[in-house]
Amino acid sequence: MANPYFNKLSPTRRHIIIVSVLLTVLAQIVLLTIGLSYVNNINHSVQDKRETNVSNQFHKNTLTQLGELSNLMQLLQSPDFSDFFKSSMNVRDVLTVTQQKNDLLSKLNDLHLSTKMVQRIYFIGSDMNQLSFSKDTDRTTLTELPNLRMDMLQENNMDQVFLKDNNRLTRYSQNDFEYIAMGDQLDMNNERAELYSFINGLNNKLVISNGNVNGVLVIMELNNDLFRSGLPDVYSGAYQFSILNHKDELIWSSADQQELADNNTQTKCQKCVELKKELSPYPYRVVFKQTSDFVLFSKKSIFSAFIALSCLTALVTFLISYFYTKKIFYPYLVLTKKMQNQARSDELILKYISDEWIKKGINSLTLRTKLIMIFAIAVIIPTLSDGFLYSQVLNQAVQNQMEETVHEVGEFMNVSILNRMDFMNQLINQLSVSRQLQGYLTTQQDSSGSFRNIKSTINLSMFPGLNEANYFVLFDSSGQSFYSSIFSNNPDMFTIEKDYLADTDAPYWISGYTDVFNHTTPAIIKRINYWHKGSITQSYLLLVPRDSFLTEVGPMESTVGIKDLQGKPIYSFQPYSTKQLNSLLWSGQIPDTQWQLSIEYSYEDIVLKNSQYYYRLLLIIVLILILSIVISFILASFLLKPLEMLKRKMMIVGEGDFSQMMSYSGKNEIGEIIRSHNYMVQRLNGVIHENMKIMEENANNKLRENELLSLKTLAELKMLQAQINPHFLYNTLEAINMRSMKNGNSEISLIIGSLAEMFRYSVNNGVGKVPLAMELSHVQNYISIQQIRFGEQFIYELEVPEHLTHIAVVKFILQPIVENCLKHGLSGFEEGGIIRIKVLDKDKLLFIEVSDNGIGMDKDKVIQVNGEILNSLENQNNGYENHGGIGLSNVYHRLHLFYKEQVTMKVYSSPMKGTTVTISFPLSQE
Amino acid sequence: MKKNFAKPFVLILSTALFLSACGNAKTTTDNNTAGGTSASPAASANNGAPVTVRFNMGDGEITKDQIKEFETANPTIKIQREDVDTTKLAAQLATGEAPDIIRITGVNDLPSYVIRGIAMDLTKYIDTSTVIKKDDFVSAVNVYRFDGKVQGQGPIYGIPKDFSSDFTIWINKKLFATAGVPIPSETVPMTYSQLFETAKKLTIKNGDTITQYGLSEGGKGEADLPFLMEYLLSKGVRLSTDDNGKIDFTKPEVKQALQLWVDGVKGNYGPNLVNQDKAGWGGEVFLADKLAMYQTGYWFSGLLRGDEKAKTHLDDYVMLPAPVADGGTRVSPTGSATGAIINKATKHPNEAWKVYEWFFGGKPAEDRAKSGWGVPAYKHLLAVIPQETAFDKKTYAVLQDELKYSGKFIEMNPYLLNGDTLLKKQLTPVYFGKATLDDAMIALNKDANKIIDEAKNVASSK
Repeated sequence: MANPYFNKLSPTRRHIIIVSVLLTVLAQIVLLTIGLSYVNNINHSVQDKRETNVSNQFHKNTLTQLGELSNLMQLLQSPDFSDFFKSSMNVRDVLTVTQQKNDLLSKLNDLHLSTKMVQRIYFIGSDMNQLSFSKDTDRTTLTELPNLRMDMLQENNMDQVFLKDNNRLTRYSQNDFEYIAMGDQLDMNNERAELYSFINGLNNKLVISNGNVNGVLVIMELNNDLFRSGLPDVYSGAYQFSILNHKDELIWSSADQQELADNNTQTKCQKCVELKKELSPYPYRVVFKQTSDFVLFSKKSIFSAFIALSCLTALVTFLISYFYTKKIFYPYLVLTKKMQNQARSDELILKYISDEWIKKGINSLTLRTKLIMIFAIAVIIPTLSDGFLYSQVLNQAVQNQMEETVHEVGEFMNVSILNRMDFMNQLINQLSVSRQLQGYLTTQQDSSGSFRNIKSTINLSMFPGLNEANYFVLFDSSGQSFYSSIFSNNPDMFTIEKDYLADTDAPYWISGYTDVFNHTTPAIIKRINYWHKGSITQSYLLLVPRDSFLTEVGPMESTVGIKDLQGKPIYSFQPYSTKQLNSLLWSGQIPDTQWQLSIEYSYEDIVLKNSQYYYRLLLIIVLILILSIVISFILASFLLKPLEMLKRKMMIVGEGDFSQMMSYSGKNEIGEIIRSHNYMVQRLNGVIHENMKIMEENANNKLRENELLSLKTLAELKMLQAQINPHFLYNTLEAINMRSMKNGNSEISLIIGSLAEMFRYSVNNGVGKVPLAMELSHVQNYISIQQIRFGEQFIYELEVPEHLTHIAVVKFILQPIVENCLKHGLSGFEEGGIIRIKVLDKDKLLFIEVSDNGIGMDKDKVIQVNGEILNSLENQNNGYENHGGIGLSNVYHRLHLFYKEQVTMKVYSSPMKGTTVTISFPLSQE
Repeated sequence: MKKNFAKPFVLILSTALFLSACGNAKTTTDNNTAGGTSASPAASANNGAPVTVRFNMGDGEITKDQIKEFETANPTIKIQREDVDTTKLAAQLATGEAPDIIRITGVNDLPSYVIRGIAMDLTKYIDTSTVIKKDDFVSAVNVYRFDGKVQGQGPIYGIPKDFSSDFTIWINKKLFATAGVPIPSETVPMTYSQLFETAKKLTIKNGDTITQYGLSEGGKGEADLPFLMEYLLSKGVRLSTDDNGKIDFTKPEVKQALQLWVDGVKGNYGPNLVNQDKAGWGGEVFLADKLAMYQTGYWFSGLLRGDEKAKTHLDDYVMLPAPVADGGTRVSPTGSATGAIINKATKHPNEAWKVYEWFFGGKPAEDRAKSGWGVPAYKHLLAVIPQETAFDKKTYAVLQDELKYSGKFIEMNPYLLNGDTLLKKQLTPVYFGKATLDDAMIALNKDANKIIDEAKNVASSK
């Protein structure tokens, strides 16, 4: 029972408060962990969502740009643009060259290329018979390259560089042209200078070329920051976008250009998310990096909020348990006090303790229930408060984050839409300058009047990028359609309000246009001016983009709508049939347009995740509760162990067993009660023990007295049977003795005197102990009589040390043994018999040895006699007396009455070798 | 059936001819030789798994049915056809991933491929072949022999799938009638002077517009290198030194020949750079009945037989013998002779030969001969050339005559693969009157010898 743990875990107030505060803290830690992981998780899913959206948008925008680029490259290689460089313009007459050059220039200018995309285009002819030009996008003129030709590049091994990278975005460095052995082959200085300036012009520029696969080398020097137009002006600094080309070289990065130069390969990405996405069908990859973790709101602040909350709840728990335990322990305090009072007062008057006070309120519950209750409270308070905090704070955070996200989505989508619109602008520009369209316009004008019957088509099926358009229609200036790329036999199907035909040469978008399939769709119109018969004629080209024109740029899980400023719907895209429950609205004007973009961004999945987490949190709360109850049970049973023990012990004591002591060292209320109890029991026990001892002694004395008395009575009875009154006999014998002495008969006098002494010894002095000398004198009297009777038959020897003569011995123990010697041992002896009594002390025992040199006994007889000695008196009495066994047995039993098991009596004998009887018993000086 | 068969051929053969004319401008600067291997994924597994032979040949030149037929008969070999793409091939040769069998033109490409060590010597395969007999070869096959210096002798590196005597003249009798010009003889060749005079007569203008052209080369109404070389062959003039280390375009015979076309361009005899006719090639104008004389080979009969419009009046078309140079001897060489070599670096020479033997000597060869799209490489197949119609018979008769003169080959310097480009580049200013022919030839000489020097250095440093 002396388990130290039990002792330490006693249900003191301090312990209970500590345990409940600890439980609170524990629950806090568990919840904090869960809460933080939840924050992380939500963070991650929001982050993922943003990541996906942002990277998708950029990916799509980049694809749009690449498509635009590829279309432009195809267009530049088409006969419209490249024939000029294959037509030996360097050897043709000036008039033709000038005319065709102007034609080319106006076509190039009509493309309205943006410097954001292309900065310069090189057209390089194959040899000196051809011309080479470069055209800067921001300038309206062509720059002639007098010496730069393919064969010159070939001689300098540069053709392979472009061929290898044909139609691949590349960023050339000086190294790429390093091995080019310039010099001896270039004998003219200006040739060399031109080549150098060409190479230097390309150095570290984003470049794409056709590799001279069709006789003209077209090189486009692109805006180094071309892909930035796939991004809004402002976006999170945590994002980094890069593009790798087919050689895995970094050709663009949203990070600053210095960084691009420094880490031409790959920037390291520790602790950041990296996504790679193929830009199929182009051989590039977008690398999206997120340099730092987004935080819903500072983890630190969450953490400190949680710490503060933990402290608060711990304090609350402390206060609650403090007052609660005070209430719980009130009865125990009272009990302890009363018991202490009881124990310390020396009165043995027991007072009842009134049980009135345990009847009311909370105290009617068992201590176990109370403990469980307090522990449960210690857990529930933080759990509930934390749960509440999470739901509040995190919901707010998610909301904030989603707002930010949807804002970001909107910004990115604006850019995407602008990019797509730009694509269409490009397309309509390109289309309007195409030879096929121009040719058609001219010829239809020629056959004016009857053109409606001519159903010639414009063969533009291979026109780069036209697959992005649903169809296109040509209207004359009155809004009358005269050509359509679909349903060309029925141009009347295509109508347009005259309002839509604006007086501008730049392409413009119209809203509220209903296409031939009765869809409302955005459409783009460009006025085309062309010379015909000396005058400028105008028609309008209407291009209807493919349905997926904007669908593709729409972010996932959102409803997108575009309206013009008058609220006329331009475009709407709703991926869901039903309205989303959890969605955020965002709207903003698309820059540089009259369009208003609105996005209904669903964050259903986040909400779902959120609620999943709530359920999980709820489950965890329940689990914690169950666990806390279990822990409470365990703790309570530990704490209640001393009380249980006390209760059990008290019940045992109540049943009268006072030997039960409790060992308990706890210095607390229970310890007080136990100690008081122990003290009380101890005292009770002491009193009872004393009484018991006295009673036992009394009973023993009484018992011995009774027995001796009964023996004496028996002897007296026997004497009465002999019809002799001892006193009468004694007096008679005294009278005879007197008479004999008077008569001088000394022998008779001796006999009678001895006999009288013997009688007197028998009658007087009770049945107790006498000094050994007296007992020996009684034996002497007997011997004297027997010697007179039997003459010289035996001699009597006595060997007793002087100091032993005063030893108190039981009366009548020797004479019966000596009598046995005469009766049995020496029977038949005429003379020479010896009877010897030897007394000695050893080990606080008195040894008395009575021996004769008589006939002795055989072995069986010895055993029998020894057995008889130990037999009960009753058996002896009822048995025969011949053996004298009764005498020995009588002696033994009387000794036994006094000395109990400490007495021994033994007979040793063998035939003709005499018999020895030894008695030993403790020495008692009386 | 012929119709379907013909269409892709028109394209392929015309481009083939075109390619032969244009030359491989890009390959000259290719510093790499064929480290080519034919390692295909399946090829590495030898036993059990079939070996894949990669066959560089146009779609239509070898059909899926033919491949299937072969694979059924030879289950251990798979044929993987690969498109003809000179740029890609150059890259493959450079990186050692070239196909096992490579399509080339015998006249232009073979010496270069031999010198670059790409072509495998097939002599011993042919010697032991039961399908292909050396004795059965027509003389034009020798264009696939090269001894390092002279084409036509030395080990055999390949076989043409078919060939044509490419300098014959196809005429349109109707246009002769329009111009009131008598039809030249079908047995006696014209001289080149006569040819160009006739062309001049046949060219009809209506103001600024040309309503009828007189003469065109395979590509355009301009000179090209095969034309020049055929002229010189007829003259018996060789431009390159014996070791092909130098070339001399300043020889008077060169000027003689080229002057014909300089005048021809000036006189707008055919579609050319100056008049910027949109026609892609001479055949287009001829088929449109706008060109009276078209210098091209026997294979063109196949095109005429297949053309929807032309086949309705085949008898208007006549093939005339190849002209001879003034003061020259009669020759009728092939200008291209498309065939193939086996890549020396092939991992499966025996399987590649098996495919080669089948395609160039087996049933496909016979099928080709019967189609009339070219002259077979084997004497025994000459008989199966179409001879049913009057057109067939007439053409066949002229062909028989021409073949007698097809044993000589036009000169092609193996180090000057882009000679045609160089020539055209220098002739252009002459056509436009911006340079004289003499100056052009001096410039050409300079360009050509520089390239030969470089190419030779590269080849010898290997």
